[in-house]
Amino acid sequence: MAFVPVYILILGTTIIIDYYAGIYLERTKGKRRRYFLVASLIANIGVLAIFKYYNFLNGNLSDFLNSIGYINRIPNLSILLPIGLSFHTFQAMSYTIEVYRGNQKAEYNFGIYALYVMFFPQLVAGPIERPQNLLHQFYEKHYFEYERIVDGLKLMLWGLFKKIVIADRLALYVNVVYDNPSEHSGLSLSIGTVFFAFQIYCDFSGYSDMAIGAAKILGFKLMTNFNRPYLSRNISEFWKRWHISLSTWFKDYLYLSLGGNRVSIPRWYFNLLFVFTISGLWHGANWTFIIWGALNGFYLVFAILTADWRRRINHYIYLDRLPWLHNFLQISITFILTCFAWIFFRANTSSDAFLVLTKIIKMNGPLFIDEVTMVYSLFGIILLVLVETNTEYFKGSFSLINHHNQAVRICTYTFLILTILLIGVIDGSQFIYFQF
Amino acid sequence: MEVNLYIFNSDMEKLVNKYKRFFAKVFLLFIIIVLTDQLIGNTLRYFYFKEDSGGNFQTIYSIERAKEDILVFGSSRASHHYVPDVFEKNLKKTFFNTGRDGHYLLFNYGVLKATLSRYTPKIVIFDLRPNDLFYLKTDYDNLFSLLPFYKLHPEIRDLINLRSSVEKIKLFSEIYPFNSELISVILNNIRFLKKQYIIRAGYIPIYGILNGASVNNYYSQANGIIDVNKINALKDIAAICKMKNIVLIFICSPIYRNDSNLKNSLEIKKIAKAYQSQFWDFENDSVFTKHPEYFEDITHLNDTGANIFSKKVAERIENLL
Repeated sequence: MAFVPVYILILGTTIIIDYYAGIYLERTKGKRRRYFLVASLIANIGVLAIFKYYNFLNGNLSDFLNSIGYINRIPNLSILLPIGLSFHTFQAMSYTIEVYRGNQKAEYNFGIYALYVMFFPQLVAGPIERPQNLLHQFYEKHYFEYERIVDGLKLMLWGLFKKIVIADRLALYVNVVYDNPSEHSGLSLSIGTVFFAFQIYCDFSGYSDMAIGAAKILGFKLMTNFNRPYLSRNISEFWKRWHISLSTWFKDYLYLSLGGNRVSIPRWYFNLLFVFTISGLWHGANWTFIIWGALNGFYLVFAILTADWRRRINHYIYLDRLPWLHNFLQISITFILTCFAWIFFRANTSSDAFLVLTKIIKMNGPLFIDEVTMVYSLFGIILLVLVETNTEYFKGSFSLINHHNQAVRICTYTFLILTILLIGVIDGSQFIYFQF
Repeated sequence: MEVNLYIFNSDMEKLVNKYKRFFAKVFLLFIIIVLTDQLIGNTLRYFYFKEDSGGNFQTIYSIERAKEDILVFGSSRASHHYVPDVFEKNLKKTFFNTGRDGHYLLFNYGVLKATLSRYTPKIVIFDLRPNDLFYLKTDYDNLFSLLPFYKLHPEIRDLINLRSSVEKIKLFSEIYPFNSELISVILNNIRFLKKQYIIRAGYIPIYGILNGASVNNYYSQANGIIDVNKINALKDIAAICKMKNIVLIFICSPIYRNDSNLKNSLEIKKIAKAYQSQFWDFENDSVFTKHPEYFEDITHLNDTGANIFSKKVAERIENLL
C-alpha cells in the first residue's frame, strides 16, 4: 500500500462530475436527464475500470490471444489501485441514481457533497452509505451526548478487539497455509479455511464497528453493515446479514433494475447469478472473486430449486418438529457452504483454490500446528461465538460491556484493552477490505 | 430576558456536568488500565526471566548470563550448525551457541550488542544467511523478541525503535513487551509442560536426511535491495569487536543449493576487510553440496553435517589464533 497524493485528483474529479450531474439531473426534465445520469455513471465506472480492471482484462486478452497464436501488444498500465476506490465510487453512484429516481434532492453545497463522498470514518471500507441516510445529517446540529459517545467508544473498542485480537491472529495461520497450499495437508487447509471465515468477518466487521462507532461519537448514524451473518439459516439470510450496505446496493441498483424476481423464472435465476457474479468482480479483478460470487449466486438458485424437496425431507425425518435441531443444522450447513466459497475468495489464484479443494477432499497428511497461534485463535473464536450467540438468542442479556453494573462494565473495558495489549497482533497490519 | 439567561445557564451547567462526568470516568478507566497493566506486565516480566527452556531462554541466557569464551550468533542455521563439543575439544575454550529459529541479522545484532555490553568473549562467530543483507520486513518484526530487554538494555533501544515510529509509545505499556508471550511463559515455567529438546550449550541437533535432492541454482532475492540498517549493523558489530579485541568471524554456513548472492557476500567481504575481521564463505563448499546426506533440508545441516562443518571451522580458527 502506498500514499500517492496525486490520486486525490481522481476522487476530486468524480466528485465534481457527480456534484454537477446531481444538480443538472434535478434541473432538467425529460429524456435529457438520462444523459447526465449516464455521464456520471461512465465517469465513476470508468475510473473503476481503468484502475481496477484494465490490467485484468488485458491479461485475460493476452492469454486468449496467446492460445490462438497471436500476441497482444497492448501494454499493461503501471498504476496502483487507490485505497477504497470501490467503496466511494459506489457511494457516489448511489447519490446520482437516487437524484435521478427523485428519491433525493440534489445537493447544492459543494462542501457538503464532497463530505458525503469523503466522510472519513467510512471513506475507505464503508459502510457504503445512501444519500437519504447521510446527507441530511451534515445539516443537523450535533451536541455532546454522554450515552451516544460512550456507545460509540464501546463499538470502536469491540471493533478493535475483533480486528487485532481475532482477525490478525487468525491471519497468521491462514497466511501460512494459503500462501503455500501445496506444502500443507487437507486438514490444515480445512482449519485454515474455517479460520479465514472468522478472520474476514472480524477484519471487516471490526472495521465497520470502528467506522460506525467513530461516526457515532461525532453524532452521525451510519447504517449497520453486519448482523451476525454466521448465525444465518440459509444463504439468502446470510446475504441479508453480511456486508449489508453492499448487498442492498446491488439489490436496489442492479438486481431490481434487472427486474428482480418479477420476471420469468429462468430470467430470475439469471438475475441472481449475474448480480452475484458482478458482486464477486466488485471485490477484485481476479477469477477467484468471480468464481466466489458466481458460487454464491448458484447457492441461491439451488436453494430456490430445492425448497419444496427440502421441506418434504425435513417433514419425513421429523426435523420440522425439532426446531432447535433444525436451526442448528441449517446454521451449520450455511456456515459450511460459506466456508466452501471462502476458499475461492482467499486463494491467491484459481489453480490454488482447486488445489486446496482437492486436498481438503483427500484429507490426508499431517496437521500443521502452530500452538501459540491456535490457542489464541480458539480463544478469540470462542469469545466471538459467545458474544454473537448472546446478542442473537438472548437479546444481549448476558452482555458484560452493556451490563447495568458500572464495575462490571469497567472491568470489561479493562479486560478488552489489556487483552489487546497481551495477545493482540500489534504490527500495523492492514484491513483486508482496504484493497477493494 | 432574565428567564432566558437562567435557562441558558442551566443548560450550560448540565452540559458542563456531562463533560465532567465523561472525563472523570475516562480518567478512572485510564488509572485502572495503567495499574492493571503495571501489575500484569511486571508479573509477566518476573516469570519471563525465570524461563529455563525454549527460544526465549536461549536469548535470556545469552544476554544476561553467558560468560563463555566463544559465542555463536545467528538464526536456526546457527543453532543447528555449530556443535559445542567439537569447538570445546579442538580449541580448549568454553562455547555457547545463541542461535535462534526464525531470528535473523538485526535481532542477532541486538543480542550481540546487549551481551557484549556485559562481558567480553574471546571469539565471536556471526552466522549470516546468503541473502541476509537484503531488506526483509520479517527482520524488523523479529526485533519483537528483544522488547523484554528494552528497559534493561539502553544500548539496543535505537535498534528496537527501527520497528516503527510509534514503538516508544507502545512501550509505555508494561504488558506490550510480553505481547503473545503468555503461553510461552506458562509452558516454560511449568516443569511438566516444557518441551523436551536435546540442547547442549545452545546447539539443537537435527537428524533428518535430505533425499533425492539436487543442487538448484537458486538466486534468492539476487536483485534485492541492500538494507542500509543491516550494513550499519555489521559495521557496528565489527567495530565493537575490534575495540574489545574480540576475534570476529562472519560465516556463511553451508547450504544445499547454489546460492551465489554476490551482492550480499561482496558487502560482507568489504566490511570484514575494513575492520580486520574474517569472512568465511561455505555456501558453495563442495564438501557439503555433493553430500545431501549431510543435510536435513536445503538450508539446514543435520547432526552429521554439523559435526563435519564445526570441525572444519574449529580447525580454521585454530590456525588463525
